Amino acid sequence: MEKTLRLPAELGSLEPFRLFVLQCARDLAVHESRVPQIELVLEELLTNLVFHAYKEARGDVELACFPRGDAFCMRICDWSSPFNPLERPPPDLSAALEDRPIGGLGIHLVRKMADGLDYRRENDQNIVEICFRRDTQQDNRDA
Amino acid sequence: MLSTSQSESNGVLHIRLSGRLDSLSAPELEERLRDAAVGHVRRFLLDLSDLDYVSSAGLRVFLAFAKLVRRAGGQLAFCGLKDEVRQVFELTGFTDILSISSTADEALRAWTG
Repeated sequence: MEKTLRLPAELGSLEPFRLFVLQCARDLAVHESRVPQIELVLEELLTNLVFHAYKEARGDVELACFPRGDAFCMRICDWSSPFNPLERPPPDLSAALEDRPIGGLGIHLVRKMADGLDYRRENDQNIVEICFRRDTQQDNRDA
Repeated sequence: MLSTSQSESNGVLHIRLSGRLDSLSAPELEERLRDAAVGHVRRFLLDLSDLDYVSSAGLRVFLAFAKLVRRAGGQLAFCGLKDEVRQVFELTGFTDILSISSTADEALRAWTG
C-alpha cells in the first residue's frame, strides 16, 4: 500500500507534494487533527532539501507514503550529496527577540511534531523517514 | 494561498492574514510588512484569526518584522491564533518573545489603556 510521487526538487513542487500527501492521509484514515503537522513536516523537509541539500544543483525528490502498524509514514529520497538534515544543531529557544537568529526553526519543528524520524544514506540517496501515529477516527470513537 | 488586508485607525495598523503562510507565500508578506514598517504608523497588530497554517518560512517573516519594529521603537502584537498556529508558536518559543493576545480588542486595550 505504498504510493510514490517523484518531482523536481524546487519550490514549485511543494503544492503537488502537499496535495499528494493529503490524499494519502485520507486514504489511510489519518485523523484530521494530525494533518496540519504532517503538512508542516513535509514542507520543512522539502524546503530544506531545495535550499540546503541541492542548493544550486538540480535533481529530483521522491516522496513515498505508506502505513506501518498504527503509523502513517513518509519517506523522502533525494540524490544530492550526503546531507543529513537531522544533524542541524537545535536552535536556542531561550534567546531574547533581538538575539534570535532568523531561521533554523524548521528542523526543530520536524523533530517536535514527528513521532519517529530516521536518516540513512543508501545507494547514493539521502533517505529520511518520518512517522506519525495515525490517531484514526476509529481510535477516537473508542476513546 | 495567503491574502492580506489592512486598515489603520488611532495610530494602529491592523493587518489581517488569511489562508496559508508557507514558503510560497512568505516572500510576498515579507515585502508587505517591510513596506508597512517604513510608514508613519508605529503600532502594528497582526491578526491571525483566519490564518490556517504557518511554517518556519512564515515564522522567519514574523521574527524579522518584530526585530524591525523593535529597532524602530514601535510596538507589535499578534492576535487570534488558531490552535495549529498557536502550537507552532509554542514549540518555537515565539509565545515567550512576542506579544500575543486572544482578540484584537484585547491587544488594542493593552495599548490604549
